Amino acid sequence: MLEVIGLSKTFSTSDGFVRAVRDASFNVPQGSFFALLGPSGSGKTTILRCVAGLERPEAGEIRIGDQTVSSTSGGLYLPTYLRPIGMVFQSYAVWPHMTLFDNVAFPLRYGRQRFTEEEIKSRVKEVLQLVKLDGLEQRSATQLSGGQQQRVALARALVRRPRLLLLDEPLSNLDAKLREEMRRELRELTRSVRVTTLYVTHDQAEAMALADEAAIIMEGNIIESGSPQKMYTSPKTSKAANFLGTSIAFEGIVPSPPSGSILQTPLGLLYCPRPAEAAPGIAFQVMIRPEDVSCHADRPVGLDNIFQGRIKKLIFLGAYYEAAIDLKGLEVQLYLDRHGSWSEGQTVHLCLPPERIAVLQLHGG
Amino acid sequence: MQVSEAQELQLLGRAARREEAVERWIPRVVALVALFLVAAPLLTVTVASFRPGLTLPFQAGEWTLGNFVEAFGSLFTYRLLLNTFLYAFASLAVGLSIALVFAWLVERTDMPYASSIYTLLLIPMAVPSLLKALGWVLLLGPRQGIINLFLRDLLGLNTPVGPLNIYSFAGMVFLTALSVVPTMFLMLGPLLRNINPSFEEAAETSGVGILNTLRKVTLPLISPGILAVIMYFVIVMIESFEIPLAIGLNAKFPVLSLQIYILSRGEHLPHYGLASSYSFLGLVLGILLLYAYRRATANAQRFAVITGKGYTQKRFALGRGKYLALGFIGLYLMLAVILPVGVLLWGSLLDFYRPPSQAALAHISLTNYVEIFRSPRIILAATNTLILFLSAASLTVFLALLISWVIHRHQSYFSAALDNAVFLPLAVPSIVIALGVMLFYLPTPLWGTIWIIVLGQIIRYLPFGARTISAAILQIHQELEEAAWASGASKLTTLRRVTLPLLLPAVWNSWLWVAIHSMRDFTFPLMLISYTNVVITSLLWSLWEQGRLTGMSAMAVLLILVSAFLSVASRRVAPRLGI
Repeated sequence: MLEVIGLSKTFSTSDGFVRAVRDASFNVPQGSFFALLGPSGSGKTTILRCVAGLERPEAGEIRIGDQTVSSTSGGLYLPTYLRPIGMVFQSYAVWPHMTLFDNVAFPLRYGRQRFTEEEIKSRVKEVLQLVKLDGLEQRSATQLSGGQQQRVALARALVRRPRLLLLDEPLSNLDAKLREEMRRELRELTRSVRVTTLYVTHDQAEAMALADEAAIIMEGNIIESGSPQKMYTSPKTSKAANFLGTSIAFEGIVPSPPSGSILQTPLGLLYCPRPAEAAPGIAFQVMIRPEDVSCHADRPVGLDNIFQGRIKKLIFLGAYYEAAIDLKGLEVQLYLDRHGSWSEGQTVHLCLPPERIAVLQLHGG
Repeated sequence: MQVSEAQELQLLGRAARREEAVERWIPRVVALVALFLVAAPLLTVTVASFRPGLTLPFQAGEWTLGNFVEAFGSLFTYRLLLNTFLYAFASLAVGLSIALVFAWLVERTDMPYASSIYTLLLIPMAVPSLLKALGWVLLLGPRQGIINLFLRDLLGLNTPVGPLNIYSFAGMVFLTALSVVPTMFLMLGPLLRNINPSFEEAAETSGVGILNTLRKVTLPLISPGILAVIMYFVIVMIESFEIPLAIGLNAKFPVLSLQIYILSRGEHLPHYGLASSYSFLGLVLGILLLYAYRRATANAQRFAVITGKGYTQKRFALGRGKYLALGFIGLYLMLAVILPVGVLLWGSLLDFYRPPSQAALAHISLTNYVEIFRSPRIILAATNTLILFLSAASLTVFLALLISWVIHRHQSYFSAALDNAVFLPLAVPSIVIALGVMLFYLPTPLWGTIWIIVLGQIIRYLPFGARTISAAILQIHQELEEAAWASGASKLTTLRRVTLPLLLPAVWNSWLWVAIHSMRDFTFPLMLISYTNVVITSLLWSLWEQGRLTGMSAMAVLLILVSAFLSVASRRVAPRLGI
């Protein structure tokens, strides 16, 4: 549905040129929710703005449906207003000089396709019901709360039934509680209207909660893409692994002679999924999520990868303990069950289940 | 009818190309027009200063350094500069002292009726300073001044002149100080209002008395702000022309602006070359001062104590001092408005001018006002004034809109240049711009029409318009426009339905500002006058020069009324537009 091929964009600033996006390519299938995830300044918003036509790329092609909207080789660049999109901005950009109704009706009144007043009324009514704002039509935009403005912006983006919905960090200006609520609603809403959605965020929890698929962007490059679950559990790069959540990481070397799926690590020999290349002496990055590590007061039996450590620091946080555990020189942060009897200085046994371990190329971008 | 994909694409591509062309060319055209408007008169003045006597700057003929030799070689020039600065600083010192006291009384004391007094103190702004000066000439003229007649009677003096004389350095300073107080008061008010009270409370809890707190804490805190006000007004004083024209000529106290006028439009044969070299001097002086002002205000922002945050100030209890305060403010209003306007009103009701007396009361009538609507010359002047301020305000605001839009929405190599170029006329005295416009357009058909005055005023008021509208555009989040594009609205529709409505308050404000200033401006009408482009202000001055005081007074009263009405209207309408 949305195809982005070889997109590049450079900005000139007072300090010289910044390559905001480098050769980015991705594909969003019809009806799916796709998140562009990256830290601030990574170029994710620039990609979205290129898709919207608010920035002009210097290389690459963008296709929405069967329509090419931007192609540097074809010399084609459709201005924003001719693209079949709807967009929600970070600041919501609800026009303060109009009522709520006029804001939402704007795309129908002044867009390329013309509608009768009747049609406008019924469409606006329909979409306002969808975002649960019906009854507030005559409110002035300045009388709306942040959450309501958010819904107005969403209604305005959906009202002309765009082929592609673009969302630029729409939840970042809401307070934490409202954000969770809106996140749920946004998920239900995009599902129910089945609109293809491109979503920009720096919040990995948001991306995981909402997206069918996501791409992680750093320094202008798409370093990894796929379903959030897959990227979280078995990331291909350590950058992606670290960005998606905390991880325990260390180096593992293929022992000589190579023996099955065992790596030599600072902890000792470690069972793990079989590395792709197995020549002796080759180093890999070994990564496991802390929540996959189990901690035992007594050495458990019948499990692989048991290592002995010592609790260095213990903080009670209510729902659980936060513990800093010294694991053969490696400091590991774990959450411990609040019903266990833990104490600082205690010797514990950590289990790293082999099937939960990811083995990554060490210098793989 | 179904449009095929290919046709649709072709159509879209064509629309895109058309829009692109427009987007590429509009900024360039706007920049060119603006740069031409500003640069032409300034370059003309520079060129003309190297041409002899009556030669126009771009005529064939000789070139000379004689004007500069004459200007810098004569002691007169140095007296002129000394006069200019003496006049500027004396007026500034008197005006600032009064304005500071007013600002403190209104913002920081428990003086009664503070909010009404705030409004009352703005009234003098509605009276053009030239008219204030003419009113005071009628009051304090050495021979026939009403107050002088009264004093001579009272003191039993048998002299035909005095004892007071408005035609003096002191008179000029007195009138100028009266005129600048309201604007200064407006600028100083927020400084005192927005200061964080805990700075003063900290001093008081350290055991320091109120007077020392004021001296050692409050004043130093607002001093960067005051410095900015001072520098701004030095620029204003150097360009000030109306009071020097009304007083300085007879007081034999020429200042730079007046000398340029005398040399180019005075009674004697004009000397464009010399006028231009004086103008060049004024231009350089103005730019230096503006540069200093911008540096000073940039530094002032480092004093982050004055924020936009509203604080509740502790107010100083005046006690019985409040009568003194009210008396002081009453006296100011008396001197700045009631007396000069009163005497003009008196003059406007007489068949020929004479000081107020029992006998004169019998001759009171409205004949002069009726006459205004009969005299074809006055009707011509009124029509021209109407054309002048309507076109000057509309064109200035239109151009300012385009320029601000280009500067802020088309970041490119020339936006910064455009920004600076448009700011430049602020530094240059009006009279210099007027001379430049005159010399550049003299050989063109524009000369002699009202449009030459319109043009001069556009150049003059462009910086104000562009600043106001730029500030408003900066307030509009770019996403508000982008949201309209993403809604399918074209750039033009977006401009019409989103950008302009949001800018409306600023547009309306600057329109009124320019309209009011244009209507009561004397500099451009007097510098650029020829027979058919007379306006109310230039006609007023020529009636004054011919000694036709009663007709002049009637026109002055009407001008003050209209200008007051517009000022009030702007305050009334502004809140409704959401300002």
